[in-house]
Amino acid sequence: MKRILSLLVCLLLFGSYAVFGQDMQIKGTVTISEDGSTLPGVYVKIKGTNSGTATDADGMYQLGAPSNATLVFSSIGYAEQEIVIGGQSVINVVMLADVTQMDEVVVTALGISREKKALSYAVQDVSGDDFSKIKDKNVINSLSGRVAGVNITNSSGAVGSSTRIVLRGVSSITGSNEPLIVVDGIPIDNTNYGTATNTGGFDLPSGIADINPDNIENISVLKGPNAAALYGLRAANGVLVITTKTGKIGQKSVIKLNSSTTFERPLVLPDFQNSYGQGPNKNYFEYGNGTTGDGGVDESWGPPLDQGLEFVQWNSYTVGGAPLPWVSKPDNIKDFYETGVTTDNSLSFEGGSQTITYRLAVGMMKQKGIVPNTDFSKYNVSGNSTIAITEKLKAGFNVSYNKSLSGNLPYGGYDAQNPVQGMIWSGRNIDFAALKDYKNLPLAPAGTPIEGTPINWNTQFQNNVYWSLDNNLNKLDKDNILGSIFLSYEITPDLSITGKTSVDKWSSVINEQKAVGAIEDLNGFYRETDRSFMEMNSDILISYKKQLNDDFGIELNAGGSSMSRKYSRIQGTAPQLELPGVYNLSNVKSGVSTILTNRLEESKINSILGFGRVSFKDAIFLDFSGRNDWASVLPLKDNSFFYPAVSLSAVITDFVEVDPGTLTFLKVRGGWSKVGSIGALEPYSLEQTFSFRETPWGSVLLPFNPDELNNPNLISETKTGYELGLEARFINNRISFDFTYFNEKNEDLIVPVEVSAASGYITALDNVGEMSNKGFEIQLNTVPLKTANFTMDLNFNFSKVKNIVESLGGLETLILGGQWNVNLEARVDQPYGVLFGPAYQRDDEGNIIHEAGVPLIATDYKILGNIQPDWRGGVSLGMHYKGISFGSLIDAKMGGEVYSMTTTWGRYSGVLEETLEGRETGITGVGVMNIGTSENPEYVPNDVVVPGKLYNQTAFDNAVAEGSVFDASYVKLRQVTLSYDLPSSLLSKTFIQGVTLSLVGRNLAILYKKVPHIDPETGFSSANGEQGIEFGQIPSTRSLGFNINLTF
Amino acid sequence: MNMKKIKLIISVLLGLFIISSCDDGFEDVNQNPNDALTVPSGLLTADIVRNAMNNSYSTFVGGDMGSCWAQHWAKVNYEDEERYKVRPSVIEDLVWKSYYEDVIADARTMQLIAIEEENDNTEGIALVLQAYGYSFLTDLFGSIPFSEAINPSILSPAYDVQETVYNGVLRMLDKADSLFTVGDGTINSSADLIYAGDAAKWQKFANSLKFRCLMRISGKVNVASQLQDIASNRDIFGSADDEAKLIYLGADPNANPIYESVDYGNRLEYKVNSRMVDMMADLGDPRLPVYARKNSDDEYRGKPSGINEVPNNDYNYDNVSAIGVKYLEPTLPGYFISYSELMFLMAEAVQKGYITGTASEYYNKGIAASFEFNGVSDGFAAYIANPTVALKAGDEGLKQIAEQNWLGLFCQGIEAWTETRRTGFPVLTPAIDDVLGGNLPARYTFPVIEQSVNATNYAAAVSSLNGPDLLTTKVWWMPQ
Repeated sequence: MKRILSLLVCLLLFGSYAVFGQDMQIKGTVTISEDGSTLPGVYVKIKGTNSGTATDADGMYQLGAPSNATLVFSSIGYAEQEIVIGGQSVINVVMLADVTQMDEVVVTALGISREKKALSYAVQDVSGDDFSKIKDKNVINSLSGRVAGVNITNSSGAVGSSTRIVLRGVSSITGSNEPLIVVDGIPIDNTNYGTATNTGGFDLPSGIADINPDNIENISVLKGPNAAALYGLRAANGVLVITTKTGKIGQKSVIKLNSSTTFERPLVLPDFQNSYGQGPNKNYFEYGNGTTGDGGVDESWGPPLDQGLEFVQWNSYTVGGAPLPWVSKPDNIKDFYETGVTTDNSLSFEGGSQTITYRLAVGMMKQKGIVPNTDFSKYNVSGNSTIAITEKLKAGFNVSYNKSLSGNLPYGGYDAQNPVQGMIWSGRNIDFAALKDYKNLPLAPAGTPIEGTPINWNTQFQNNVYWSLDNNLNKLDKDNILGSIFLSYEITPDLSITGKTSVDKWSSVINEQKAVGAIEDLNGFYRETDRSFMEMNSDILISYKKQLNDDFGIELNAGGSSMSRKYSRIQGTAPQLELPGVYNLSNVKSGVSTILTNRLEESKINSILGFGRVSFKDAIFLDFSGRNDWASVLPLKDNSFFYPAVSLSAVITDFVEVDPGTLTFLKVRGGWSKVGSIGALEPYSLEQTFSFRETPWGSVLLPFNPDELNNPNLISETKTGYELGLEARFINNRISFDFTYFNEKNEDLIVPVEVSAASGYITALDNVGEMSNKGFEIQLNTVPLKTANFTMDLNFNFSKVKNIVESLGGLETLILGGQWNVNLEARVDQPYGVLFGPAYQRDDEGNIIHEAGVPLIATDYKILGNIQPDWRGGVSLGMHYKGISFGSLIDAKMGGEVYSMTTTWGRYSGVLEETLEGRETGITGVGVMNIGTSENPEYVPNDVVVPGKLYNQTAFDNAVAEGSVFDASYVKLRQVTLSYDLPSSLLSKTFIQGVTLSLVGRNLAILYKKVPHIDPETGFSSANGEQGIEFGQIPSTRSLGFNINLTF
Repeated sequence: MNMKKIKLIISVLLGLFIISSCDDGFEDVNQNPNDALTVPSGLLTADIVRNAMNNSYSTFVGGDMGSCWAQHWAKVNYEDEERYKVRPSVIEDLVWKSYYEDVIADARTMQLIAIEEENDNTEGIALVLQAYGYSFLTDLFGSIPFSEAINPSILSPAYDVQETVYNGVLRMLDKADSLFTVGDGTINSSADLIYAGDAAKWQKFANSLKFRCLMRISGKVNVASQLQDIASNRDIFGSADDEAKLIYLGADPNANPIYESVDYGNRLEYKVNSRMVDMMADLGDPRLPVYARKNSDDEYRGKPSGINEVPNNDYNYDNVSAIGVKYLEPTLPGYFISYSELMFLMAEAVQKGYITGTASEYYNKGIAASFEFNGVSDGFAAYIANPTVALKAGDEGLKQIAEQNWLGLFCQGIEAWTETRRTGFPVLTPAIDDVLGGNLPARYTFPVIEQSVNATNYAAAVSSLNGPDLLTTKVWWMPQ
């Protein structure tokens, strides 16, 4: 770090030289005509150049410009003004509301900025300001609830947990459904390389989480294929175009420090019962050695607690083996979790001269998880600059180095290493805190599975959880460099050419170690996985732009692009260790072999593209584009695909005379496009090959015929769609409304079709899938109150997508994932993500049929639910009074189901509150029983009373899933910030230019949910097949803290 | 800069781009550097053999739905399967998919490559392994895909009834026998985990397996002449040296699955069954101390099958005998077919008059082989002198043969259970808390996935059974 800092100092010194060389300095204040209040964010540009600055929070600006130049002042909703400098050093400007003008700019495909007015498709952007005060560990999480049609799912509250983002609906059956992410023109690898599944493993954040949120100026969400069409084969899932902060031409150099500290606690914990302790029956408990005896039973069907009973328990050794009081520990789980602490500090230095802009930044984020001994850190160093070499020749670069580190990432899923598993299969009398000092506890008794490791309340299925978290580690060390250079030349004022090359290069080392005595790897385990990745993109673009006459303007662009990607993975595993505590691949147990595997992947896409626009009276815009891609992963004979798009928009209010105080602006738009995707197709999926088992038989190689049938006739996946939109603003822009309807069809989806294994294959790759997404998105932004000192913004967004799997090429269903007996499936005629599993047997009236007092389980599987929500929405409220700002965000996902195995096993094991029912009296299951014959059933209400344990272990078991499928709706208070800008009068005598202090909170509350015990926003990872199913979720966290923003 | 220069720059840049674009070199880019396009046939042997044994010896399969159902084993916890509540995922993944995809399909691939290589011996091995796989599956399910199976152009193959499958299996074994007789082609001895390249032993395996297959269907079809042909004219196992088994290695993951699960994986709920312990105690069987360990009361005590709500005071981890140490060794062999089983089958064939010979001779050889394996040969003479052991005539003798075969098949879960289904001996009482209405399981249910990926053929297959797709529906060769 020391070296990085000294490097930064050098760079800072170098940068400050660049500030000099201005002709003269001009400053002033911009106010508005209505009430004389100052206007921040006014863009001040030197006419005829791209140089300029913007007014600060107090409406003040300062920039250098030639004394004979003209300044152009512009701001949304105000008339543009041009003022000749004429040697004045102070220019104060009063802006007049201009209700007809809207030159708000958004970033579109290929990073091209466009006037929002001229857009003919749906693009929505989020400013970096919206999340700079409260930075989520992954910037993608900050989009939750802000953008209509964006679906964000954060997997869990574990450090390093992944986040799934889907724009509109899912487009691919088994391929990635997450958008292409482009940072400053660099497409980044956003693959999730974690091992998390429903059966264990650790989650990892995907590539985008490497980026320091503080560096982000803007995220532009290209939701549909029209907006994303220029990305051709990579556009099917939409695109997030992220622009990072840069210095501005003529901007005085400033240093900004953004520092925040937040504290995390679990947001939701299961509701446990506290009346009965460990054991198989309620009469008696005796620990035994924790394997034999009742201590070996990891369930809570034991004797009643807090009744003055005493039994021999795991810690009876402290009293010479005597019985100890049998008492409840209601907070044992809550107290297990520590308070997480996240500190996030970013320092940046930015500015610009007439010819150079620059920005340098460092960031450091350190996170301590709520699960003991888990952590995650990120370090970012970045810089960018643009240089006007001559009037016509511009060059620039952008580079960032991002490091992610973790000393331990927790396990999730059904695995003894997931600490939450040991809370569900548990005794409610267990004092976890007493296990914490494991170094001073005796060892587990000889002959028990965990012999040799510290004692635990159960020695058969679980290790001492604190010992496990300290000794079974999953470490990450990832380095990522993103860099790009560009050169652009203005051949004539109408014609320019730009070339760019960018690189996303990362490498990571993951170490997984399990100590000798770890319950699922008793002889220990060590694995190292080294990955490296590099993607290089080179683009060239020639642009021609001409206003032909008063009415018609034309823009034409042509270019090409070349992408090449290489990935390699080398993995070594010592499946058992000879010497405990030595984590080295050579330290492998005698008789066992180290396993070495590697994989190389290489792919290329070459493209040519063209796009253009014809405008009429600057009010009607016709956009068109075409891109042809050649992809190496497709068969040579069929590897070329053309993707066209066309769209049209018309600003009605430019043609029709209306009162701008009522209807300020009205635009209609529509478009059609076709884009593609490689989908699930990995390199080398065409020819059938033989693979090798990772572990040989001693020294005998084990080649085998893989279970997937490859297909030499595959083609790319295609998405065609149209969208229609309407944009309206009312009452001088106080209300703005944006509506988009879309209808998209995904065809030729590449599916590893599950086939009858009797064919010799488990799956066969084919272009068989068809899926449609229809829906609409509404964005409603209002300013209900606005006075000189007070502004209130209230914004809403809403989206509804109807996704239907139209065809699976003759198949009825495709299994995407699942856990235990529940499948997550794509089923024809259903939305993607059907929960399919065993249900209760029911009579014709739908009553559950009981036999001997317990529910009967149907022999065939049924549709139990679907994970797709009915709609999503968000509401944000902002209030600004002088220097005080309040912001809040509510995020809702309504409809859809989740299968919670926490309920299944928590009921089976008797730890959950609802298992108290009938402990003493027995349970009479609600439903019917058959008093007739099986041929001629006669159903009467069930009146057989069975013990609560028997009932719960039959009605909630891996053999039946129906009882644990719940409505996954939620409404969350996603974010609240309260911030205060110190008045500039206080700071005028200091070197500090601005101070903002904020109190911040994220994920503060779940205002509404129906699923018990867990946060309905859940997933084992961001993968398609790990959604909508849950077990042993590491609780999501509520985060509270403060933020300081300093500008020097 | 004049327009000419500009045009030149643009055309050069575009030209360069267009030349380098399209798909030059893409074929090389998409050449798989990780895997092999083809392999010599013999190299495939090891993985096929390993998968066949790993899955049938898995405690989820051969344990929960084999040894427990044969009532060799009983569990003192997690007794669902012992009560005939099966896990569909086990049937689907560990039996159906792994046998078709990892055993039969790879053996078929091996056969096709061997034919190209004109390697008769390896082709023969590939046929024996396919025959073994199909017989294993049809014994468990009844109807299974056979004539349309393992064909990349038929992804939803039709099922064949068990009789058709067995006829096909017998043809495969005949063909293998004739290929071995020609005896051309080298066998990859290191990949041949069973016989290390000894074609003569493979031929014995083929014929011994055929004998077993014929006996399996002997209740339905008159197979006497074919049995006699094998006994008289073909090479079969002459001793335990010839038997078909995979000797496991000393450590995970290439150790015997019983060791992997019970010992290495600490599934200590697997115990011995009182049906077996009581019978052995009655017979004074010296194998009992090898099969079982003493409980905490220093006794051999089994547990009856399928009690709900264990562990309890009557049956728990302490007071029920654990499986004997020998059977938890990592190197315990996995059997395709043992010499002692062949001897018992031949004894039965003589007893039933299918073949000529002396039943007691085969019967005693079977017992002797089992005793030798268990290291109790010293007790052999006394044991067979026991009047309840010494072979009797007629039906009583058939019961003795079946029961001795059953005893000899300890820890060969599927085969032990299958033989009880065929012979009806030893007479087994259904699990105490069974979920089949007082019936014993007669087959596995078809894998659930077939209902979706092969629905039409699945429906036809169900109608070809003797009843619905339930555990209680008897397969064709079973006495109805």
